[in-house]
Amino acid sequence: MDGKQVSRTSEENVQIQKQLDKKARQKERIMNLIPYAGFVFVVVALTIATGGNLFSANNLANILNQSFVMIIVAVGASFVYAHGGMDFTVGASMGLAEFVIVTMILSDKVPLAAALLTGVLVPVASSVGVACCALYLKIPVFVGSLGLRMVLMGVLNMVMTNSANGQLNISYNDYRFIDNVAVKLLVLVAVIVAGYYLFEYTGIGKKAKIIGGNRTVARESGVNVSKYVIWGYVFLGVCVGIAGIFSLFRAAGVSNTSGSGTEFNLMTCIALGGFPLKGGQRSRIINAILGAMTVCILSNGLLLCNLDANIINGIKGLLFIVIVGLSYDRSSGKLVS
Amino acid sequence: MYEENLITARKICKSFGPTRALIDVDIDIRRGEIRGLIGENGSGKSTFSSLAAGLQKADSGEMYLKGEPYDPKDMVDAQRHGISMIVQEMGAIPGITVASNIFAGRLGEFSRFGILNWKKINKAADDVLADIGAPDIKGDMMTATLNFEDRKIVEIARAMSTNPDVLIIDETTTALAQKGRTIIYNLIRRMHEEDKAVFFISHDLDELMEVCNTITVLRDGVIIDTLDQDEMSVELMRKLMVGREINGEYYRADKDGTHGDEVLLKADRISVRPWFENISLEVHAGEILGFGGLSNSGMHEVGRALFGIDKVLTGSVTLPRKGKEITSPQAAVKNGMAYIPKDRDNESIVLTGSIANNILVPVWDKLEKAAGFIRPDEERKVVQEQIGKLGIKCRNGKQLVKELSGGNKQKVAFSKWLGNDCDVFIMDCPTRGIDIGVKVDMYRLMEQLKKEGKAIILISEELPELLGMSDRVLLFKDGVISKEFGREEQLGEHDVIEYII
Amino acid sequence: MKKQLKKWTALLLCVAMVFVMAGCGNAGDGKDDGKKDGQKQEDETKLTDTTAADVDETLAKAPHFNITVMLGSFTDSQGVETKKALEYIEEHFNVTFNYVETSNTTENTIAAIETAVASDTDGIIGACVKTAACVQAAGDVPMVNQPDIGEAMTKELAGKENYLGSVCEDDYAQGYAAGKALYEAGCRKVCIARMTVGISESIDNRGLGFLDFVAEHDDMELLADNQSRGQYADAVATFASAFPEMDGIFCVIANDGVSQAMVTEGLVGSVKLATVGYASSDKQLLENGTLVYCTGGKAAITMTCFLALYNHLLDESGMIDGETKLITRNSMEIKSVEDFEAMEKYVVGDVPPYNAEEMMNMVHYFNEEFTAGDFAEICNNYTIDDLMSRRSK
Repeated sequence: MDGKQVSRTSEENVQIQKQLDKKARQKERIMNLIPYAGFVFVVVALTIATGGNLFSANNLANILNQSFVMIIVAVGASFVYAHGGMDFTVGASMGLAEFVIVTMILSDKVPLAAALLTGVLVPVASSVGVACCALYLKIPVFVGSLGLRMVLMGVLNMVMTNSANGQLNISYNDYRFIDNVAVKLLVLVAVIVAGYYLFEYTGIGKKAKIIGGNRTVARESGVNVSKYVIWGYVFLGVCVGIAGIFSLFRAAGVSNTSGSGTEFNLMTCIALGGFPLKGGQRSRIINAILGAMTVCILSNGLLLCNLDANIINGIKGLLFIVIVGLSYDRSSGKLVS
Repeated sequence: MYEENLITARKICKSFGPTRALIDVDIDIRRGEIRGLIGENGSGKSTFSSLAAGLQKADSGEMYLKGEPYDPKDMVDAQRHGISMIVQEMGAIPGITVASNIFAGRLGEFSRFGILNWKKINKAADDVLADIGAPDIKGDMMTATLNFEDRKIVEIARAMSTNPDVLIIDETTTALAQKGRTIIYNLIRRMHEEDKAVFFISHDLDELMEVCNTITVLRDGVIIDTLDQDEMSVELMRKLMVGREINGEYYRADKDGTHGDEVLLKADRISVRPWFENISLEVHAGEILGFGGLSNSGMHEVGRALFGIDKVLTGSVTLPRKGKEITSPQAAVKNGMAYIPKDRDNESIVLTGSIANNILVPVWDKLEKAAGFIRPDEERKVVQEQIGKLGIKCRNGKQLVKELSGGNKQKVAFSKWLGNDCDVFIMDCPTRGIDIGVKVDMYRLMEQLKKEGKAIILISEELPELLGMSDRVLLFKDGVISKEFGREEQLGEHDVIEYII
Repeated sequence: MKKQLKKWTALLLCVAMVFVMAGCGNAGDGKDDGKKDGQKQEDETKLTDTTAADVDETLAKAPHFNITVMLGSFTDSQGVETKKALEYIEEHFNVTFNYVETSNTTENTIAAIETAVASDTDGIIGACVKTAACVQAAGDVPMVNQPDIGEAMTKELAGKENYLGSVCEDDYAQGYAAGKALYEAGCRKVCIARMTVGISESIDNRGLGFLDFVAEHDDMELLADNQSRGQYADAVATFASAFPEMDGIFCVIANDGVSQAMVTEGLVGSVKLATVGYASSDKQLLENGTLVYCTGGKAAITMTCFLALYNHLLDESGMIDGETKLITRNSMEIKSVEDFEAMEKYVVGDVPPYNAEEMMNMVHYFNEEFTAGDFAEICNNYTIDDLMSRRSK
């Protein structure tokens, strides 16, 4: 006979098990907290570095203005990243949406509301295009959306050049009622509430997370994968359109660089906020918003500190590595599929 | 210390996160011993063997080899100490020659001034292969050209090439046919005669009884008992493994193959290339229809086609009661069909998801209110009911499925359909890789469903299970139904085998 | 355990790097401050050597200003030149600059302007593309813009007192002059390598100027018009293999890649090159006669912005016409090795195109006789000969 009887339910072993469980739960809690800690760290460090200037009334409005676009887009992107998708066309499609709206406004024939609505349809169409490339042409979404991004950038450049030599403007003062802190706050709250509701309390969000967790399981459990993937992209498109509208009236015009870079900013926000890039159940809208806030406050605060542009980029990049390095869940696969 | 033993382990502990795989394990292996290691999945038997073979490190405790403290750095170090392992999953590398596989990590022994003497290497590989009884495999063959079975033999050769004192065989025989098994059994016998030791891990209790002279039972990372040859019996081992008596019959006790008349699922001359052609079948209310055959016979694919996952090339699948044709999994689920895939972890449940979300996937559509609203309290109700009904062992519904044992995972896979009020179940190997205890629960559940008038298709590679549970059996061979028989006929396993091979 | 240790060490190092970099940034600023004081005194003594002592006193009495300067990039040749000039100004005048890179997008520029306003800057040298909203973001903070903001937008901004105007160079004229230089060098079959049209109006105008010149001359033929975004060197290589008869290339932007391509493609001797802007290796091409036209000294644009803003901040004297709100500077043409060497010496060297004394004379607060007319004339007279004659004094 080998050794003596060991029991799993002995006092000592029960204690050890409790300890291990506690440790595991703690670890998970810490992982979840890191994006928040990163946010708090950024805010506190910058408040000190700017001598409190970060929270001057004036600058708070700036932070709202500067983070507005990214937060809206991040809320929309939650639905796409939750199911494991991505979309690199958002920058170019935002620019195109702005172009369409400006052209309609300048034509003086279309009511403003109709122009805005048509504008929103542009990114919806482009995002759905990305979805269709992935779903029906079976092109990996990374490749498909990168390709569509190039096409859209080309189209934007072409239409801008042909019709306006690179720049189209509208009167800033005529549209002040849209580029207005109160309106923006209202829209922001509305988008976040709508996003949160759809994400947490309807099939659109719930099924997106299941699809992100395991597409085969979702399919074989009767989830209409194509339908929910497309829904996610539609919502992203709507959000990009809304963001484009405000971006347009803020700049009172559109140029070929309008919206450019949004797609990469978005990835930074998603990763910094601790939103799993592969999607799945750990996807939470709040993480996407948190990421957008962190990125925007970081940019704003570092500008306030009057740091050299290269150092700003360096700090941003390193913080990105640290936060993502600490919080990213490696068990769920590669960062970019 | 412990000079009389080949291997001695004292108070070995190993944890993976919060899961304690081994707790205070003491083991003594004497010379000439063939030690069987049994236990359900997750009982820690593979963990122990991987510690001994240097694949992993223990958290605490000591190991001794022939009285000397033993702490292998890696697998090659363990081999140098005379401990080799044939692993369940790891295969031979296909892109290189057989000889390279056999001497992987030790090719340096054949080099002179940095140049490898391939003639010598191939010769040595041929010798090893001939020695273990596989002279038809040669060292200079490309591994990729060998079939699955021969590749396993290459692995055995690799383990034996160092002439080990202790050989660890981890569930290798399940993957082997007669040729491989003969080789392994001969090796075991030889090790015994040479006064060396073998660690033998297998699910097949009968095989263990035949091969081993001592058997250690592990449960939940703890050693339950060690049986000598005269104490061994399958019943006792099963009881020790599960921790309780398996009451009554393992499978269905009745010999009654009757069922309702109503046809719940009907397939009319369906084909899916290249798997099967022109299959027609009907399943009735209260009937368990078994599918038997080899894994490439097409029976699994018939199951997928019936559920609408794979599109059929010809024919149609219909649900007569609803008057609906099944062309997609969505249609199937909507009309009360359930499917439990064979590959549980990849197709059946979302490992990174919570128990609740896994159970709710097919249910959400039914819970939807105006504006797509799904009430959290209604969700909770469904989840609570299912966890209670099937006795899923968990903290609560929020626990992640990946933290559960195999059996409990399978219960989650079942409960998502039970919560959806289905009346046609397609189960593809529903008891594959799960513990005996849970297996019995599953069988009772199937009987329960039969009583409730549901139709069940049971696809199984295990003949006893198939024969024990089905009212009617369809045997598949090369994509066609080779034989159909009812429960009353009471066919034995041997009668069946000739129809499937 | 070992793995854990490595992981944490890596993370710790990253955190440490963040702090060191942040620290460096701040310390760098601090160091600058220290250096500024010391050097200011030193330079002031230098100033007394060259200027009257009473001017020095007035300078010391002038109030301090924080000014935010924006540019698409501070790392390209114009950016580096500009930053150097601004650092020179910081040393000699009682001002502190904050540098912001905008990457030429409106969204970035607006955010940068808003943030600058929030940090209580006294004045902004902006880099807005043609949109009024960008200027609006400055609120009441005085602002001068670098490229031309355009007639329509200027009209929209009428009545906005804090917007002082824009400063630019005539890009069209530079393109036209480049065409002329190639023509005069005997080129008749030419190619143009330009940026995708629509991205930057000022760069597009260079191309238009050149194309117009070619169109006006019947004996000049345009062989190819390459619009690949930024791939100028590749364009040159393509021209070389596709058009053996080619004898002239105009490139809307100068860079070392283009100069290298001229050499590696064996075009030296057979093909002439004209560019706007200059690259560090251009001297060699000027020497062997390949480069017939380039321009430099663009740091003066930002310096002009500064002077207009500084005049306004000190005593609200307007140096930019209130109607057009625009100063178009003459661009500095470089056509010979001597020109290039002079530019290296007097533009990129220790002293920018305008030295402290000259700048003081362009500030009404220090020099009461100085007028907007004088200012426009100085901007208009900006050539390499003008610079050389000023420095030779």
